[in-house]
Amino acid sequence: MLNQTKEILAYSTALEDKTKELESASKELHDVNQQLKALDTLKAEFISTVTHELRTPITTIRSFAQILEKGNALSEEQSRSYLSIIIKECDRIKNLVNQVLDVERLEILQGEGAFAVNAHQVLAESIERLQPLLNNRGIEPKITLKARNPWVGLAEDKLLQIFLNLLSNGIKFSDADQPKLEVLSYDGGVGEGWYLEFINNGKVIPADFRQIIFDKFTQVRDGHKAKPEGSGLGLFITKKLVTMAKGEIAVYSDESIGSRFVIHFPDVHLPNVGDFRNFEHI
Amino acid sequence: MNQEKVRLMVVDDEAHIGMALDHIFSVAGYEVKTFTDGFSALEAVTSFAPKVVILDVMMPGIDGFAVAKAIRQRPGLDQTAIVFLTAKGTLDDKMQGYDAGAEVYVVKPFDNDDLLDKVSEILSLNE
Repeated sequence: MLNQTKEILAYSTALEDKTKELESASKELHDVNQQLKALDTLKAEFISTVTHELRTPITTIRSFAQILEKGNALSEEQSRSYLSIIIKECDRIKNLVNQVLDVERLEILQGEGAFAVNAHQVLAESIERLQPLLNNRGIEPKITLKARNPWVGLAEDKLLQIFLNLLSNGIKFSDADQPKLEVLSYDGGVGEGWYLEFINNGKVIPADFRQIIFDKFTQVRDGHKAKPEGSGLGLFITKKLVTMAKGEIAVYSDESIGSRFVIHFPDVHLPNVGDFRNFEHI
Repeated sequence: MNQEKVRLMVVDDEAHIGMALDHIFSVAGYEVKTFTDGFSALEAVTSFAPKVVILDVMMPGIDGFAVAKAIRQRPGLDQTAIVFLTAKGTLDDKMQGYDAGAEVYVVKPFDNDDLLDKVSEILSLNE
């Protein structure tokens, strides 16, 4: 009798454990399901926004092409100017499509990280690439690089993309009359990684906008002026890439500094090699 | 005969679309004023007193629906027709547009001739 009771008790405990396991598995399934639903919604929103963003340049192209097709009452200068608008809007579509593809690629490449690149070198290359834009706006960037181990665990082309996005934003949004751009790198505390800042003296980014600045399709508006050029995906991609390198990015903005994008990169533990300077891939 | 031109206001934050509309309607004989945001359009709308306002929906500061509602409440503008010209094309968007007081709702991209026809049609109905 005692043995039977013991056996029943053992079964009952095992049953309880199994029930708990099942409950936990069911909760897990429910959570995954919720996450998938949220992803679905995000995807649908993304497609709807991309479609909307594509409609605008297509509208402009179609309308000006129709004007040119009719050709009546058009001066040669007007024709040329309308054609150049069409070309600009085609480029806008091309950039948007490229960035959408970048976003898609990022989703696939999550988790990649078996690289280490010297960020100072990549920074120099990105500044060189943007030299025509810098010259155009008369900006001579102030570069102060103090980080002693500026290594980032990310493929070089991706780090380059981060820098190109942040620098070209800085060029675009710095003060209209006296544009200034500054890049600064410095170490955190011991074992605390290092920091990289991109500072421009443009208008203050409002607090509510700073909260969503890294979301898809958000763009700073300058008062009541027309929509700025760009797809609104640059900073979204930048944040994704920084996160892939296990870093963090934040934005600060006030009257005294303008806008400051700060990236914190963790220390990258390089294998024991003699010379870090020529180090490229792990 | 020296007929007075029909005044038409364009409000779209996409400067290029504003330029295209300016060209299309100027060539068709309208007097056109373009604005890239709702606030400055609302500042000018009473004195300009347009017969037609072509309005985008998604704009900085104040959206096209709110601009349309504000125009509908302005004294002296009861003869002003409102045409929405927007990339927002769901049924819900259209209903919002008509609720805000629009006579016509056109989804981008548009056909220039079709838009001209719609505007002249609405003008002849309002006469």
